[in-house]
Amino acid sequence: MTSTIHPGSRYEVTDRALGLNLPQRIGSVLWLPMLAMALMAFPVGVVLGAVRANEVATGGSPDTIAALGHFVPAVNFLGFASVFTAISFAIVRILGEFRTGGGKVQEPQVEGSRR
Amino acid sequence: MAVSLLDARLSPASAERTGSRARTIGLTLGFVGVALAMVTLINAIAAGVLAGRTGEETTVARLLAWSFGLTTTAFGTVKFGIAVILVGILTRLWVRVDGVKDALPALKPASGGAAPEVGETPTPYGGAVVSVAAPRPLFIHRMTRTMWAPMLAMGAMGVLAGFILSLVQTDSIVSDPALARSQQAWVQGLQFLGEGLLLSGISFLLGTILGSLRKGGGEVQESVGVAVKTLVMPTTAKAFVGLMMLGLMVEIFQFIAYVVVATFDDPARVTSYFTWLGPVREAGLGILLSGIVLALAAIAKALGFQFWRLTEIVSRGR
Repeated sequence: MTSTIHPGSRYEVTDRALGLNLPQRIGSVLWLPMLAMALMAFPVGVVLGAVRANEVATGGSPDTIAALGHFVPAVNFLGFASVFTAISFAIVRILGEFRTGGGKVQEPQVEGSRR
Repeated sequence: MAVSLLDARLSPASAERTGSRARTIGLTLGFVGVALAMVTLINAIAAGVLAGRTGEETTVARLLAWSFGLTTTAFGTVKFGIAVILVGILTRLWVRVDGVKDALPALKPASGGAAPEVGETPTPYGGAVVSVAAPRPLFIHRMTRTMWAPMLAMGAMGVLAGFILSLVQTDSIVSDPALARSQQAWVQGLQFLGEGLLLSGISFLLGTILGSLRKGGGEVQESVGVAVKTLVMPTTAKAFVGLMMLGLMVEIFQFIAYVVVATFDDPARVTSYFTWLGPVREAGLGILLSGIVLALAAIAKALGFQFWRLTEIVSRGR
């Protein structure tokens, strides 16, 4: 494959369509596990919140209430971090489709001109 | 606005103007949101410094009351900015469709051979339906096109109403603590309902983008006289609709629950309910955001399919 990079306008001329770059490969693989992690974290947060509410209502151990008070936001923020990572990876996937798709549409023209 | 932007085709110059304006407004709203978040940061630092001093309890409580309202408003402003930018993407999407329509006849080989039969056909991106004309919009696409603007408007109103109430709450903290507790419940319920509606508006906009990709893809194929291949709704798109509905229902539930809590007199009971309602309202937003992930994945799949179909038309002419 021959390739010429044009640094001024930041595009690359190649004789065949390019594949995904490293971030796009990572995004394609990791968006779903990140989403799964988020979908697991939020219900855990709800359950821990309910346990803590029960402890508060029934006059439970102050240590348990304080500990759960730390766990609940930690789990929720893990969920938010995961879901925003999944959103970023999904956007990277879209960019990957533009990169590979744009190249593939041009490829038949290159092949046609060779014939 | 919804009709003029999304149903009627804008001229390229007009779409360019509208898209650029949407980008400017969206980015400005994003910066305003970040600035509001910075104000709440300073506010929280001030509350933290005062918290250790005796006699400052009321000041700290007042600072935290309106800080909560402002934080949520900051997040809401950023979300509204994202929605405005998505509107800009939607208007420019049709410029892309028209551009491909203009360019494709020159790229398509003259003899394409026999057209595929009408019906279902497999593709590298899953099942597709072959038809002779562009497909009609599905019910979900018609619904998303109608609903995104009302959702965003109601969401913005909910967040702002909650912020104003949080300012009112700062006055009640000393004069009437019971009323302040009730107002606190209303603030949280209203603002998180507003946040949920804003995320639903963004979800509906993403659904509208998916509908426009489907409609535009069909139009392009029909215009060059080839069989129209349309991707069958991906599983991610179906799951997206389910998660969006579930998330919105959770946010409506938490609002109703907070309204009920606002009627409680017993402070201990209020604290107990606040304890479990917090994670519930966060989970509602998390579910809506998860739906957005799936919508983006569905957009990626639809784009991949469209590039594959374009390549097929350019290389095989059918």
